[in-house]
Amino acid sequence: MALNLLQLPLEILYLIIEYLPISSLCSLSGTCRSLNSNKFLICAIDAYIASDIHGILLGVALTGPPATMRRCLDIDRATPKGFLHLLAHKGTGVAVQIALDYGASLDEVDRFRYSPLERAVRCGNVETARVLLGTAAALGRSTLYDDGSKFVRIARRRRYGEMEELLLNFTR
Amino acid sequence: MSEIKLLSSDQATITVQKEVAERSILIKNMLEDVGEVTEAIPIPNVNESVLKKVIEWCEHHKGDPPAQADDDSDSRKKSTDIDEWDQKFMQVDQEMLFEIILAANYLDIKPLLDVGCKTVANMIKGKSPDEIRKTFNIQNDFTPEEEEQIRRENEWAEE
Repeated sequence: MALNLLQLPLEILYLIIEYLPISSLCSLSGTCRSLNSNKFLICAIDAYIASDIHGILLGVALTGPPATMRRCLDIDRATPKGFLHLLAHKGTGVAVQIALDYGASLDEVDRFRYSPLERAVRCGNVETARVLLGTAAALGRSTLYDDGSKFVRIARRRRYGEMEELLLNFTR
Repeated sequence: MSEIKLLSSDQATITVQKEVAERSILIKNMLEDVGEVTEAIPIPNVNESVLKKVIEWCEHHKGDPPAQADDDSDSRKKSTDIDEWDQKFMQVDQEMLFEIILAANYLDIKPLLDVGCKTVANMIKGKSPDEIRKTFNIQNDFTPEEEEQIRRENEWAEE
């Protein structure tokens, strides 16, 4: 049988990997099971992620698949400052849930003194607001959302009908 | 100019200038250890056609200055530039390319090993998983669902 790429010794595959950009590493790991589980390839991709973890994390959190976001967080374990706010504004419910699972704080405030939930409400992101509200309620942190129905007023003033309804369900 | 003889795995004797053979650190060290040799040195892992190809490379590069220490060995994105002669030299079928890489590794000829690895890297660069499979005749053993998931997971890294 002819010698092929997969039969090269690991140390040689490692040398080849060193010459490849990240996009090629990912393509290579997507070719077959043995390369997908190749430890050098996994390490090289993780090393790349670690080299610019926050940049990549923010990128994948907004556009990428959940598995990659978890992979980033598994490497770093810490969510960058302002991360949950960004997700509350522009992200998906799934991404917010993952950030919370990895310890992002509901209490962090941004430069306007807004919490992530307030940011979601002000930006009209119903999907992320729902996850944040659910988490706050589950933790018994109703103070985060029912302070004088301020959020309901914000939603109403901005004509975020669905948001207002969601908030009313929680404040009631 | 003194010459030495090498014996390939398939029992072919090849005569080569000592200076050329010493591009191989393995052979160089061996010669330093044993001093003068008259018999052919066995190279058990390399067959005649591959050994000849490797010697051809060593002959062309015999005057090269010794490689300077790799000071940026841990920086990613190493250059895959290959000089013209080496590019032509590496235009061989894939099996021969891999055989050359293995021989360079065994014989400890670092610059040739580097050229070989760069050549393979260039065959991978810029290709989708499917194109890589085609290039290297790799069997796709993922289920369609797994493949889709991996594709999505890797989307972020696309250029």
